[in-house]
Amino acid sequence: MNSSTRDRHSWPVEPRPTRRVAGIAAYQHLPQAFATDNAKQMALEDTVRYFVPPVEFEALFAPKNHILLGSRGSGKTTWVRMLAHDHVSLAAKDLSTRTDYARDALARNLIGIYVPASAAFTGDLRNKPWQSESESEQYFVWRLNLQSCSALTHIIDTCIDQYIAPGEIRAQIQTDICRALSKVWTDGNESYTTFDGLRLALSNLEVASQAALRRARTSATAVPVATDHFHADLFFPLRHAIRVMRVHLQIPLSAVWLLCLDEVEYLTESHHRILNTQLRSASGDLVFKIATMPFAHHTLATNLADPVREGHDFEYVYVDREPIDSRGNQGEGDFLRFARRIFIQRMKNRADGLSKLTLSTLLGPSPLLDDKHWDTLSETEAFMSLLRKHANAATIARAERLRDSRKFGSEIVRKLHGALLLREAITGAHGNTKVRIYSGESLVVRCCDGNARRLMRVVNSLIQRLEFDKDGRAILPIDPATQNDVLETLGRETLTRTQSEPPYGELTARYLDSIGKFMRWTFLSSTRRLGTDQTTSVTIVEQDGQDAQRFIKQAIQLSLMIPAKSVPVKTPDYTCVGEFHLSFLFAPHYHLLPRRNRSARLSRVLAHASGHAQATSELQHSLLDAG
Amino acid sequence: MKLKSLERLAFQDLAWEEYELIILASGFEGRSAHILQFVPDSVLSRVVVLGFNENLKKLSRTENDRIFSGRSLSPHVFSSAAEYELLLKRSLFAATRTSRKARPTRVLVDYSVMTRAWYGYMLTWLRYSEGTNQADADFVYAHGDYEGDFEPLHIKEVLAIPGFEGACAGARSTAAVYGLGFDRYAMLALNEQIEPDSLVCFVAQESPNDVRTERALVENADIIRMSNVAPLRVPLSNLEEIYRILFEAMSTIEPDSEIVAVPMGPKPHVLGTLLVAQAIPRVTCLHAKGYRHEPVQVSASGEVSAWRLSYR
Repeated sequence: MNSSTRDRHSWPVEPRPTRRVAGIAAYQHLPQAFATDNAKQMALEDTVRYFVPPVEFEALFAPKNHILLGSRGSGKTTWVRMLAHDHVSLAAKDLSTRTDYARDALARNLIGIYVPASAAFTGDLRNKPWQSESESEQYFVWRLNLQSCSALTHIIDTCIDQYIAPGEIRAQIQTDICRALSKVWTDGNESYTTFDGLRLALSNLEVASQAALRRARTSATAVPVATDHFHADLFFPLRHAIRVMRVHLQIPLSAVWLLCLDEVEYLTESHHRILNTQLRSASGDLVFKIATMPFAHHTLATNLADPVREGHDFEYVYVDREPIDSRGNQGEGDFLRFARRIFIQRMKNRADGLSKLTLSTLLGPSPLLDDKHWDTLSETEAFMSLLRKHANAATIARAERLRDSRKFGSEIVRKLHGALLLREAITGAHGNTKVRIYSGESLVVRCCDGNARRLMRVVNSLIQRLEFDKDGRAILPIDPATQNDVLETLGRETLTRTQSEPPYGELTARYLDSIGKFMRWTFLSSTRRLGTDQTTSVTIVEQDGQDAQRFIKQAIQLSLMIPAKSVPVKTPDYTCVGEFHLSFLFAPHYHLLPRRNRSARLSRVLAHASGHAQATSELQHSLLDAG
Repeated sequence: MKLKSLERLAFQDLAWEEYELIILASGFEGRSAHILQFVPDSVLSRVVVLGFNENLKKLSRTENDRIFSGRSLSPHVFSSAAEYELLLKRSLFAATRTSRKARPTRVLVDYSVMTRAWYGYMLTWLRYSEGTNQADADFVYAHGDYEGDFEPLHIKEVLAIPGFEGACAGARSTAAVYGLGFDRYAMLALNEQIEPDSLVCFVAQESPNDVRTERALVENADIIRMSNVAPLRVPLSNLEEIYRILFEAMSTIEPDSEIVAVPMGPKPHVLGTLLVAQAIPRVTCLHAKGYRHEPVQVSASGEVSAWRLSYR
């Protein structure tokens, strides 16, 4: 434990008191409070407990087809998991207004089935190049039939709870349903009476089928492929199983089953065509909620004559939250409110005794983003001093002109105070001086770009770096230099890791680095002085070519570039043009101001990068020649 | 057939005349042709050489092809999986026909530079083919000295190794088993895609002070932190021990989980993982297909491990 705080609070300008809260015992669970950042890794109870339902979520309970589009970590999996009947049933038991949606869904007989598409599932679908297109499609249909029936077995229990008639014996109903399903699933060969037994039956079928495929691959002669109940039209086995449940549980005919398919971005275009065919021909009692990444609804085509049409056969729902508006005004933005709520939820449930700890207490104010008042003469003079040091002549002249008017605050101070503080902090940092400017609640949250998983990771990393005093109490807020270091490291590591991301990670990392360096150059170059606008975005046009398209689509999918609101992020054949903002995640790494502002053409950014590389190379050659 | 036993062989004592089939490979690594020098002329007619169809001019590839050619062997270069599977299938069936009935069909596989899809197919053939009911596959591995650092692997796609797809329909959670190498960022990118619920890692450790172990632990500190258990230390040249440790690790994972195994470390660990996957049906072995601009030279250190896989 390090209790040293001697260099705290040298930044921002006004010192902040160090607070110590709660005893060490209260902190023992804190390191685990944010350790899980992925909905897939959470137990059912935790997913339900920590879920903060956004407004758009409730719209998913409408009995129609939805395709959820969200970047990695935006919360898609949580949304579709929370639609599943076992999750809804558990949520309905929490009587707070937060879960009104769940009681409403149960009352309307909406029954969700969550079907994950794990890496093992998708990795198996695309690794058989010897299959013909038709064989490949049949294999996909077979696997999805099996997978969807397996998913159904996880909600039979809560369906029994909801629909069991008074006087009926629960165990008998369960036995009857399991027997009926296992008999049909195994062509009458097996009879199971438990849900585990049902899943074992499916697993046995899968193992037998895989062994048959492997025998066929290694056989000297052609081997006929055996068929089972799941070699049927897509979702026929699921529909039959639903019918069995309806009969045994007397589920009303008006009930609507929501089939929630997760992570379909890893499926192929032909798989999506098959799913689209289902969207096109879906009947009213089975609707689809399909989660995928932006541009990863691979096609609108179907196996029918017509493609699916947005607004007619389905609707897109956007999961990504826009963290701030286009000009950088956040204030009490949606995502900041979300971050505060989820922090309180986790504290309440995971670190009892720390329920009074808030995100704001943990991280403190942000010197860069939080409003500053320049009311007194000395404050205004301090601001003007920074302005004269870093701003260009036109801006200085304008500030002098407006100094005594109301516009000074709105047009000069508001636009420039963050930029001036940042430039002063960065250019003033020498040697081992630690930068502390990227810190504080609003800045940390903003650097998460509206991405829930990124928020969990950052808060978790910060909590792991919490220091304690000699009495074992946490020193709050967390040291700004530590916060700065955590954010800077995250940006740097994300960029490096992006190189390995399939399929265009190398290109994406290279373009991101060019953009970040260009923005740093425009903001920090000693040859350039500040105006009221900084370059924080890039503009992509159609002529920028295929690589630009590959880059921007993957960067948006990974939440490393944020499209302006006007840019649609739908099908992949769409040429993605318009304005795109560099994720604030990278602001600490490149020493940028986390605001949305002016944009530069991507082609200009790349030309600057190649020019810089060429200049460096020429310099090296001339030095070698001189040597 | 099922794997019945693993037996260590003394490479210098191999009875070359007893092999019905010898499968070698030519790639860009210097060690590609190392085993060839021990193959007597008398059995060259039984040798099949598999050749990579990429990096044809890089590092030692040209020299390796020249060495093979000097022994009247030319690598088969494939443009599709179907082509190498057909060649291997024909070669393996031919081997069963020429073997004497009294003893198992014997095949030698030098997997030192092979892609896992190639020896994965051979293992699948041994496990599922109905062409014979007894076969010994002697897997030999020329240990290497790495002459440089890898640049990060640029992953194009993540696929199951054909023949090693696990049963995952009944599972609601994913347990990952990662064999850690030196490619920190590729491992992290893979983990982002797999999103496991629980995680077990293993690293190669040949001796108590193995510097490569320390390097793997440092490179993969982030992934190791995500796992709640200490990484397993797995030897490099003892296939029986590799199998035992990995089997124990995977068979004790809770039964409701599908298991996704991603061996990114040395080849004996990949082989051990594939063998365990043949024994535990819920294990899927994933492979990150990708590229590096500059391959790293690996020369033969001189040490060779040889293990007999007996299928009955």
